[in-house]
Amino acid sequence: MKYSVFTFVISAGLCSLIYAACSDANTVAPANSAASINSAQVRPDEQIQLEGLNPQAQNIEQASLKADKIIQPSKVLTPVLTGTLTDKSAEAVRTEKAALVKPNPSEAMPSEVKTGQNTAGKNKAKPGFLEQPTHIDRQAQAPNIKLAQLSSTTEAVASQKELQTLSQSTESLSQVTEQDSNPITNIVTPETSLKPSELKDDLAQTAPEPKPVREPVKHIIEIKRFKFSTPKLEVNIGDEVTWVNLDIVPHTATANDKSWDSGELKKDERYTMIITDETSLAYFCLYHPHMKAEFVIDDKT
Amino acid sequence: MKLRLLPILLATALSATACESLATQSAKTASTAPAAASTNPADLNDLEIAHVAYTADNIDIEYAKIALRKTSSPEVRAFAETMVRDHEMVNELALGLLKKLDAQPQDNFLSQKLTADAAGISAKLESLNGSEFDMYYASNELGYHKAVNNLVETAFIPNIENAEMKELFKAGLEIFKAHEVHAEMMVKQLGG
Repeated sequence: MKYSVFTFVISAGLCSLIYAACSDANTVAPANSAASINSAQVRPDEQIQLEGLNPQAQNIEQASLKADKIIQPSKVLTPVLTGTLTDKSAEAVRTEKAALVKPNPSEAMPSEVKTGQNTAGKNKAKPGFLEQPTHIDRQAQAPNIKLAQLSSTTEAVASQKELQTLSQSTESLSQVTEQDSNPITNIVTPETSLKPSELKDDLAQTAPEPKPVREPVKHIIEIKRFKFSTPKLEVNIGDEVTWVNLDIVPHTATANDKSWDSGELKKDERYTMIITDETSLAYFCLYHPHMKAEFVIDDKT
Repeated sequence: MKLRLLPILLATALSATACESLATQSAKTASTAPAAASTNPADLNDLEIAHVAYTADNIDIEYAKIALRKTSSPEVRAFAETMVRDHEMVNELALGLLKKLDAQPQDNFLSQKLTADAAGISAKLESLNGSEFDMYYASNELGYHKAVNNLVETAFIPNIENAEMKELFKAGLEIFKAHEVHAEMMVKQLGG
């Protein structure tokens, strides 16, 4: 009997000790679990998926990743990053527990978060999310930071569209815009964008076809034997016409409407005039009215 | 005018062939032979022809001066101004050539005939006014230039020996033919 009582007492004491030890272990476990998550090295592709989640979903994801990601302490984490995530660790563990008990399909990670437009909308609703430091390597970090900056507000997207529109006129600017907008190509690519070559075609269709330009020509008209040597002379605007009187009596070259007049040209005297769009084309000799001639504007030029 | 010039023109045509050598000779001896020896224009030498041309030019200038005093028609005035301008130019050139040749134009029967006839026409012009004056002046100019041009073309130019003088008369003929065309236009403008 005494042996039985002793045995019971000993067993009870051992059980108390064991119970006390187990209680202490439970109070420390969350902290240890969070530290393990913070120390995990997350691959870039995994981080991209995380960015598509709201904080609550991220915490769920972080919790669900614990078994895989708690591999070894990170050597790349900064104290700031660690501290930031450590603050969230307690909540993450609590969420983990809830998720393990009752998973909510509506809070599961979206299968595809590729379009910048959709991402922007989510990020505007949760602006603080993308501002959080991320613990990824630099190669994966650059496009994600650019994505975050471009999609942080709808105004940023609007500006991007304006830039895209303005860039249509120049090839270089268009290329720059194309490079910058690559991460969110599905969002901002305008349907009406034109390539430079298309712009040229468009301009060619609307602009009038230029006429061939002809250099001004110098014409000589001899007045000889009471005749103008070229009764019908083809000229163009800007051409220079010179009359020279080879007769022994004076002549004139006078517009029929008297709008221009050479005045009296004695033997071997000359008169030069520039053809303008206002030049009256028909002319005659004022002294000998039967002497007539005219200009013809060369409409081919 | 036509009637007055017609005998001269006929005489020129009839005697042109026969008097060709004589005309050449008379031109050469114009300074010594008496002018009254022939009434055939083709008999005139170069100096006599030059005198006839000079006289004819001055006669037309005198008609034009009368017109410029009396006409109110722009067409008539323009024509008259051209007659003064062109005939003075021809006379100037003719006198310049004579000076160059150191020769003096010789009066002859044809020059005297032209001067006599011009006196009657000038009197007629002075007696007319308005449209009658314009029409008479225009018609006389047309006839006068036709007769003179025919004389110069058929009697003078073929018989002129001096090359420079021949060229001057050829140029003069073009001028006078232009005047003839101009006179024809003027007559039409005046309703003639």
